[in-house]
Amino acid sequence: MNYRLMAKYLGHFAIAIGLLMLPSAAWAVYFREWGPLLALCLSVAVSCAVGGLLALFGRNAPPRMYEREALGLVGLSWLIAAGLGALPYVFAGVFNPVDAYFECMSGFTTTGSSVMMDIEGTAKGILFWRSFTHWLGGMGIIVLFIAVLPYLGAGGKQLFRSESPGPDPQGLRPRIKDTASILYKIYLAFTIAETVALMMAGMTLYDALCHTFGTLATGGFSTRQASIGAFDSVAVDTIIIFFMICAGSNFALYFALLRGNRKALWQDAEWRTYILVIVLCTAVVTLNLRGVGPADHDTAVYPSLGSALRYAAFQVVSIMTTTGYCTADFDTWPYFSRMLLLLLMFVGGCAGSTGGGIKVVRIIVLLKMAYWRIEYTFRPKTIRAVRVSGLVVEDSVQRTIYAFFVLYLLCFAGGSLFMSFLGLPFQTAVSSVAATLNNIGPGLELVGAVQNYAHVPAVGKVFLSLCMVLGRLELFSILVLFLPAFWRR
Amino acid sequence: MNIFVAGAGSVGFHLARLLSTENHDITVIETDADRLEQIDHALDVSTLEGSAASVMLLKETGVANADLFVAATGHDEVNLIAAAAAKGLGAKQVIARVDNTTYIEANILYEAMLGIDYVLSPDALSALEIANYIETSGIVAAERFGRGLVQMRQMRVTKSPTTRGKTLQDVCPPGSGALLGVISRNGDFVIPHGDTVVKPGDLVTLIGRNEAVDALQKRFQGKEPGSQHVVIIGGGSIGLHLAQALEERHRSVKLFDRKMDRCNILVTELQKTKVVCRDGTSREALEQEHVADADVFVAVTDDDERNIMACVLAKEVGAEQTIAVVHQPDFAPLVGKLGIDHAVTPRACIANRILKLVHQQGVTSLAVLEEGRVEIVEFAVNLATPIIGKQLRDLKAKLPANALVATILRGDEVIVPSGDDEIHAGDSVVLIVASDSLEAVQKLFVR
Repeated sequence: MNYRLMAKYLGHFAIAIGLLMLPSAAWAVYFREWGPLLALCLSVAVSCAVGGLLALFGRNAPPRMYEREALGLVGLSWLIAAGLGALPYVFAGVFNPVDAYFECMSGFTTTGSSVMMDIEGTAKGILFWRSFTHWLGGMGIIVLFIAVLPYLGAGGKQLFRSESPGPDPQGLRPRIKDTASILYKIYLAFTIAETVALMMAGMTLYDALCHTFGTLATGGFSTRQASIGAFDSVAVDTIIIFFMICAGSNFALYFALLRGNRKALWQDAEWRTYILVIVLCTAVVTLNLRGVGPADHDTAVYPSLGSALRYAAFQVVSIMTTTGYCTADFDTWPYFSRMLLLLLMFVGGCAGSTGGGIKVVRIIVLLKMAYWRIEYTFRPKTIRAVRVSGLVVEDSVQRTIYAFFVLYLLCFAGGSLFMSFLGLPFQTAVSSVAATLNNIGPGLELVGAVQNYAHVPAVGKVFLSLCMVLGRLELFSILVLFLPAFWRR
Repeated sequence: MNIFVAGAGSVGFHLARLLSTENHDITVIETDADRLEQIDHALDVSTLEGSAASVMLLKETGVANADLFVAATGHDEVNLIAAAAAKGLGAKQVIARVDNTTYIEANILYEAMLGIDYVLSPDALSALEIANYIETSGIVAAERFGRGLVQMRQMRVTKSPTTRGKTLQDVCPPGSGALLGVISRNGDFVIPHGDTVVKPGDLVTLIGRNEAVDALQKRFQGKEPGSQHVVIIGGGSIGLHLAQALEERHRSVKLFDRKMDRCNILVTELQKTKVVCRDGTSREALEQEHVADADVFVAVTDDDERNIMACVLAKEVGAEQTIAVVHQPDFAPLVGKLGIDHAVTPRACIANRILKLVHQQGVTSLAVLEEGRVEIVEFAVNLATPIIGKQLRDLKAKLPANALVATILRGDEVIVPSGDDEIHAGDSVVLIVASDSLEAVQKLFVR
């Protein structure tokens, strides 16, 4: 393990995180919040000092980076980013360190689970940082790092793959730096578009920016206690639904669109499935909310088809894309709808999107694999190829997806067990792990849409932070950090 | 630059590595998925599985937009087809790597017929590099260009040359096949004219046909240039090329090969070389064949270990200078430690050659002299140039004062021009130019 090189890169990374706090400081100045401004400036200084020390330690590092270093670097960067990003909360006196770490990890991993009790009463500069962590984590802090820094070379490719979601991330351009900067340009274009749209729908620039960050990163932090529901506007709901769907799609498809392939989206089997699932689930939930199906509960049923559709669509898209914004308290919905939403959490967005979860393409491959396995029992001599969008999914990729799925379920099962050990009721324990591992945000019952995570014991908060980063980096980059063999020569 | 490399063997991999560190957009095409994955992990390039000879594949990957396409698979025919196809699809410059002697000998014809810009062979390039190395002992700098037919040599004029007090017109009259390009005297340089006088101690740069440059060097230095007696171990492709190159330069060559069949072929291919059917790695053979008297001992078999050990043995027996061909590039820097004078890596030879072509698109800068103040450049004359059909005499008014047309390459013909010669379309023109006038010259030749 080339520790010095890792220290050097982590040092540069820490300094970058520190400097990225400056826009929030600018908002603090704008709102004349001098206390939070001091907290933010202090955090910048501490981050830069930590980064400087690490860089100093690694200044004579031998330049070769192998896969092991890259993998370790990605995992450690995220753990450190959340640590440094938590400083403003601590210095501003908003949270104790454990809560701050949870909130910041929830931000970077675009989860959106919050422990903040009084959102409207918190300083605007701090809230901006909270939303900005979403935006940075959405496309990836390290991808940003690769787009900006010139020196990573082939090592950059390893970093990119470890951070980008999906089974087999491919570059859009021969050089990884170009790929990263194209992705960020598309991301930036969406950011501008949504901010303008939200301002036209009546939001202030500040609110529009914060909610854009939350939407495009599929995060879920709002500047209001009642989330998007606070605006109670059909226009805002529609805009956010549209951009959540955009953010949950594969960004490589937008690149293909820009290149002139107008059918790029529809040609992609994963995207077709993704849209189909959204439409189908919205329809089913809408009907369920209108009282179709067994009346099981003292449930809120919406008076008109229109309003049922509006709330069903928003909640389904928000959960499916792993955003976690709410316009309705779905804890009061019928059991069937709630169960459907819980399952949707695991599906998640498309590969190469900013969404979390298992990813649609993996689900497609797993279903096809399962289907062939069943057919295999009575036709063992037939050779089958698993195809997605006409391309054969190779054996090694299939095996990785299979292993990923098993590990994912293990994390979920183990996590749920652990949370119930801490004394959380059944629904809460299960849904809190599902909501953090899949980077959604709100779960059910005590961690539901109108509740938050503040009452979870400190150990539970640390554990859920770990679930978030496990989900965001798709397990492996974090799991390896716990293997002693990884650190040995 | 947008570069495609077909074939991820040792040459392709090495080339992709060198180019990727220079911020080019590189796509590597290869049939072997494992090899491809290895590249994918090691280099910042994009990879594509498939055969480079498939026109459909080349078309889909956008080879039409390529600035450079290098076909470097292990199969000559695949390389030739792929390069020709890439050119046909619209790649700006294409290079094919070949190993088979048949293609190398007629490379100019293949280039012309298939539209390939360069047909290059690692073995032939290695042989050329070794031959140059042998030749350059006693010379400050040397460079070959125009497919190896033209050479440039820089050397110091000795104290009592036969040329004392004579003007250039007398020493190398127009039509002699060589000319004197640059004279460097007391840190200053002149691009000379017919009535310039060469003085002892000058650093002169000669350009021209090989034998004419040899003759001229003899006049300036008063001795036969280079080493005389060369022993080569290994009659493979490199050995054969090397022997041929050295024969052309009038060296006495002794070539060892273990296999009788191969020796019989070698004898028919070579005119004056002594072919010995013996194992060149046995001490007895080396002593009996008087390797102790050899000025240079070269080991060019396919086996790195044999080459290295043969050189060590030859040094032990008494050879003055030893050169080894080392295919595994990690070994190359180590041979110095074993007392071997020089190591040549075929893979590096072709990669360096291609890198040179990449660095100098359009204008091929062949050599830089006088710390960058003078350059020797090669222009491909295309149809649109206004200078076509003009006599050089008339061109003189247009050319800057410190520029000189050194040679014209027409097919495989080398012309060291006088005022009466004309420039035709399709010629390559080698010029000596002061760097500050390069732009003006470029405007004249390239549209």
